[in-house]
Amino acid sequence: MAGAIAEAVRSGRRSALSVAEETVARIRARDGAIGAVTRLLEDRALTEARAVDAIVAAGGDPGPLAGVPYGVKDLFDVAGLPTTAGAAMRRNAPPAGADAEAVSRMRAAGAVLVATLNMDEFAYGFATVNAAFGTTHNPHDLDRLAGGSSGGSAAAVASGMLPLTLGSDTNGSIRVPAALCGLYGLKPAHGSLPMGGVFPFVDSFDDIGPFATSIADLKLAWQALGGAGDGADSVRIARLGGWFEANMAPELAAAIDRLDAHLGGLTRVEFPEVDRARSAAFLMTAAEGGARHLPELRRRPLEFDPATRDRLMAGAMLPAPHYLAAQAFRETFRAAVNALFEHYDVLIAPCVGEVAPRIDDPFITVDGARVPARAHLGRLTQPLSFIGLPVIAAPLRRPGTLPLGLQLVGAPGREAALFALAERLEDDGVIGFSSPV
Amino acid sequence: MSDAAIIEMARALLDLDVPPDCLSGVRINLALLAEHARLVGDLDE
Repeated sequence: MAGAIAEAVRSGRRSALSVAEETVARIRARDGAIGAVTRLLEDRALTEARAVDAIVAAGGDPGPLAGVPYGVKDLFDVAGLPTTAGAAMRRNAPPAGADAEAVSRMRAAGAVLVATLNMDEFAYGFATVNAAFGTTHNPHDLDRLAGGSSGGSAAAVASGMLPLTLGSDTNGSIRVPAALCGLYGLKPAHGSLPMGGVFPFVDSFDDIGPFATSIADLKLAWQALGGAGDGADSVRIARLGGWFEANMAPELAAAIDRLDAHLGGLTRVEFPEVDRARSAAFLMTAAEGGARHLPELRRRPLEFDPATRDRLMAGAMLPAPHYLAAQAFRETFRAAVNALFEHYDVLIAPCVGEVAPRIDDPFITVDGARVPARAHLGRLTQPLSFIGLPVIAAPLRRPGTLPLGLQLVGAPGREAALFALAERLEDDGVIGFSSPV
Repeated sequence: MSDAAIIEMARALLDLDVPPDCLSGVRINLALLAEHARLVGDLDE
């Protein structure tokens, strides 16, 4: 969709201005039911679109995303606007002096910024239930969660309001909403895409990445943001077992079995001590997040969203030995996982074990117990970002049903292998976006 | 951990006043962190 828009604009068959105007009208018509958009940037969008059209009119090339409308999670700096990070207390923060580096790169590629998008406060959650900016609803079933913390970014694409969006992922905040909304999402290798002008949460794990409805669009956005990698002719694939196979809904287990057969029968491999890795990621997140927000927790605790405030306060109180033990274990875990990547290029795992939880019953089942979705939807994503691995979240192709998603997991710097496998599976009809019915 | 202990620790170590409305949530989250810390173990393990 994004690629088709860019092609039409570059060739002069469509104007970027008409695309932007239609996008603004579509958001006005649809977002009331979804709650994905926090600010509609109509003036900026029309200005950027006219600039793209002027380049085309002058015989120039506006770039690979010419005239493609997109939105950003509300933690990317947008010049002239406060960066809220989903927090009521930041509604009147000083306006950003410049765009985030990622926004600048998207603009340089010809993309047109149309909206900022909803999120869990300070990116701490997997739900996008926000006391100040509202709940983002899943376009596949408005009574269900879109996932988070980049829920607005996912819902805006799944509902057809925007063809591309950017989000951030610390423990799964791109991958979880991508899975629940049936989209492609990329969490790149840690540190590989620019974080300048992105409101931070946990420096050890924070990354940015795109959402899209096709692997080609996801790749276009990744490349526009600075992603690069050599092609992959032959991809060695295995299936992640153990922790990643427990607690799967039966239809998800069956779909992964079918995928396994489709690929000719995969070897099952396991990461050691995944539960410990997830716990270590949990501790580091709590400690770094708590430390970051400690000054405001001291000054104005009651202005936080209660759902994040109590977690941040507890995190700030975590004794240093626990943080250091988690950090030390990370290196042990990384070495063990890297050893596996000497034999495989891509590992396949589920993204979330079940379909999107209902908003009025925000729980998932883990080992027979009901646990809060807000904290636990990332149990399959968290151990992977813990060591900075690149992951493509990919929707299983299941039209007419609630989405379920996969993670295609690669070694750092091997995003090209992930894209190669995703392209093949999409061509084969195994994965792919299905519009909400 | 008792409410009084949470309040005292936050004040002494972090100069942080935990409002009464937050105590229950902070206690729940501290218990969750303790569970994860037990699983991770100590630095020399």
